[in-house]
Amino acid sequence: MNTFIRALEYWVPSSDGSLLEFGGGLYGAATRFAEISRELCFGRGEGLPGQAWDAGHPIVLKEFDGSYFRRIAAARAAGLTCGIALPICAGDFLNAVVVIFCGDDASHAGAIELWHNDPHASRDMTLVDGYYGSTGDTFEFISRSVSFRPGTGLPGMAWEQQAPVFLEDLGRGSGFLRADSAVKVGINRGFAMPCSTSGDEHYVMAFLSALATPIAHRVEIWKPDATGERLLRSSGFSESEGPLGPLDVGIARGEGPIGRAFATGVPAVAEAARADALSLAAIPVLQQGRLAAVLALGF
Amino acid sequence: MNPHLSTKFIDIAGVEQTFKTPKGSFQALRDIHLSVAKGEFVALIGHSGCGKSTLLNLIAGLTRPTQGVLLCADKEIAGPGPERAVVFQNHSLLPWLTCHENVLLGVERVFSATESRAQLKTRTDEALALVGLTAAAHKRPGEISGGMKQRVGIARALAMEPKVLLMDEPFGALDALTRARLQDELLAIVQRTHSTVVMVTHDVDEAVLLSDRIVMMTNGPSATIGEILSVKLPRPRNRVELAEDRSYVHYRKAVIDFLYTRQGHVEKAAA
Repeated sequence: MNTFIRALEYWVPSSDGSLLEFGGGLYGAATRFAEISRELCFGRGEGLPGQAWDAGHPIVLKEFDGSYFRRIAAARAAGLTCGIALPICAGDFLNAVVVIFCGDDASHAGAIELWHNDPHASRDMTLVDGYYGSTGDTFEFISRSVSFRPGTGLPGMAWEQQAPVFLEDLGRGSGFLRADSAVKVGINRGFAMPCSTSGDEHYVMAFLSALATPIAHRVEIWKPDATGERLLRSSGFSESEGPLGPLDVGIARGEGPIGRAFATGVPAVAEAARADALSLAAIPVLQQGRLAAVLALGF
Repeated sequence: MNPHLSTKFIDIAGVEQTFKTPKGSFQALRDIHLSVAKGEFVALIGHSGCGKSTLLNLIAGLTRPTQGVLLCADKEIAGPGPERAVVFQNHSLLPWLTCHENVLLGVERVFSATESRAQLKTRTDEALALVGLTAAAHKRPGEISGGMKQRVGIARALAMEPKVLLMDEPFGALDALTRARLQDELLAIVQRTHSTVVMVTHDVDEAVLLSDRIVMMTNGPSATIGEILSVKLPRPRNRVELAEDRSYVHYRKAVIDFLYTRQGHVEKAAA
């Protein structure tokens, strides 16, 4: 998986709601890490998924070594050094926790940022934390100094639209307000998605990646049609095909991984059936308990 | 961040400003929310027509918002007041009065009911001394340079001991060297007086050099606040030392990036 996202997994509440159990995952070459993960479960506050469950909002863990992460040795062996855990909440109910893994080697340049707004305290969306890998400190410095309003910058756009936003070229004119700094450190792709939380605070997760290591091979954003019965692709980008426009052909509930995420509000994955096909992860984006979009990532 | 900052002092909540024109309504500002802490120096920056001066006029009480509310020290801003002094780009001095008399005019307006004539004069002298104009106190505006006139304007504003100093491109009409000198003087004055300042500027270096926060506004019409940059450079600030400071360069780049990106949008829309 020659992408900035190296592995992705999701955890779902057990039937009695006391544990998070393995729901599925795409691990690429990290086969040993995958084997270990499938045998695990997490209590509230345990490990990275349990921490996100307990907090009720996304968590960035920049460094596994010496942390509460429970699979440190296996992660290190697979070259996975950091992760972001993203709870998917329908109101107070936890549907799942998605964990996205990245590596720290020079060949996987990129950044993960978590942005936050507490409407009771401020109108601004500010950086909670970020992982900047080998992008250097210039970009991180600016990210830690700026705050966004709705509609401005990549986090502000996702916040205002309450839907995923993908920018295929962060250069000038894209609306990405740290463009020069990003281009200087090799970052050219940006992707942000609003995160559902158990409270009324707003979180946006942003991924920024370089040309050689795209966020994913394919990114598609699917939204419910007017009837709410089908999903229509609103936009997307393929590293091999370029921009992907709207599609009139919809996906019904339960149809494939995207349709399953639509039907259940829980992520779904599908391993590539052939060597030349992509594995697919479908992540539901919920807002106030309703499905706003399904994000499909191809690896 | 300025160590003297305390809780929010100016509070702008949900402000919108729409003007009636012969061609219909013109929405200059929308959805403005901004808090300024006591002792904070905030710069408003953006392209021409983005409503920076409109926002400053609202804080000054020179215009009333069509929607929303503005508070200063927990009181609604319902009109101009001596607690909010304004320094304009054109110095607005009365040409038939001396520098001393121009400053005294403002001092009398605020303090004549409570202070003696001698005290008013002392206040005026101190304000002129603060901006280094003691020697020119007896001169009329027509006899001094543009930079000196602007210093008189600043002295007049400071002499009224305002809670907030509002500056609308105060150095915009001055040559580069004079502007730099006055910026340094303003830095020193603010350092001494711990004034709360809101300044409109087009000058990126001026914004980074002087400010605790830079509020970057989107293009008008219907302009709003797009991004806010926190400038965490220690004070006192020295422009010569900062010129090679990495943080300063990063901040400067971020503001230019914002303006350049925005300008690109303007050009694209115009094409």
